[in-house]
Amino acid sequence: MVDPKDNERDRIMNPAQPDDEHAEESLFDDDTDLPEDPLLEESLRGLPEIKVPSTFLPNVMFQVYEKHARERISIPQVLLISAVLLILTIGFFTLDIYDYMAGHDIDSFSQGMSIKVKAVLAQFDEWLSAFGGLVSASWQIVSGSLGYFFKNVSIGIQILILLMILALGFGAKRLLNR
Amino acid sequence: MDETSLTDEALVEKIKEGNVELFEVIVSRYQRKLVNYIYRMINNYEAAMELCQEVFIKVYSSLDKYNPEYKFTTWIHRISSNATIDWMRKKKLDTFSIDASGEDSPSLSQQLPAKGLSPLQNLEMSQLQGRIEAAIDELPFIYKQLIVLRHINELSYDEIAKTVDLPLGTVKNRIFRGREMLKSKLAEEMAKRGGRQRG
Repeated sequence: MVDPKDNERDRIMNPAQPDDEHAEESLFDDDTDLPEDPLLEESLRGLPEIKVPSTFLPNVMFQVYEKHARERISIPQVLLISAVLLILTIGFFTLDIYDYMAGHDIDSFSQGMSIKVKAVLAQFDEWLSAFGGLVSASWQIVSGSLGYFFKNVSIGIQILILLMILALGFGAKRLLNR
Repeated sequence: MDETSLTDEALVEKIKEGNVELFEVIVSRYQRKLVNYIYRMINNYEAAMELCQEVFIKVYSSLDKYNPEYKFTTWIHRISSNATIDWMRKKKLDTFSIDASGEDSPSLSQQLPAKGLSPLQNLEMSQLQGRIEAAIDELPFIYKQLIVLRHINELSYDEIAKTVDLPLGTVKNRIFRGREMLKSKLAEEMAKRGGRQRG
């Protein structure tokens, strides 16, 4: 076991062979002036500058303004904006119902609204069933091909394909991380 | 009053009072220096631009924490230095060859051709600059960072010490050592080239 004091003693006894790192760190202290190297300095100063694109400043300022706006906005302001948007939506919907009533000779507002709401809900239902159909078809394709894959393909090819999928996933992850 | 003539510290005070648009002056003043510093540390042009934008947003977000007793230059360089180190840690990037980035970053000499030089002189100049760039890039991080801050961003030794949070003596020693390493790398390169040309 080496005693750290021995190293210290050695350094004191052999000042000509100090620890490299220590020697480097002790060449100059806070008050010692570091000699300049005009030639090297001149060469380094002559290095070309990296060009900053003209879009840099606007990009930064856009983010700064966005941050500033987000910091300044308070909960009452958010509530106020939401209320205004809600009123505008109700206003638009009401005008739309009156427009529909005028076009279809309907006198009762509630009747017009009921027809409009039904139409909107039917549209939404249509869209939902179309989406459901798409999901169901995709699921059938995937489950069908997986069933075929496990029943009819030999185990060696199954492993090979799984390894290929893993390699592709790993490759894609590496690509995204770059 | 022309805001561009205000000191950084005065500008910061005004921005804190709500004059956000004055941050533009700060960005204009420091974008070149920070982009150059970050690019030379990470050697990737696109990433340097992105990181530099993040640094400015970080600077803006931290303005409340800025203490005007300290120089703004030191503070902004410190944020930039920390962000660069974090980025390098995240990418596990200790060294990054200048050649490796050649594909996605424009050549330095291509960006700014020297004016008033003949094509041959231009070529020689760009070759020399390329050798210096490569030599800086090969330096270990602790030396490269200080050499760039001193000789490219032209910070004083005192400012560098505050930026990297090291004693002044250590900064001077590392810059001295970095310069020696740089000179020896450049001398080696010159000797190799000389030998090849003679051979």
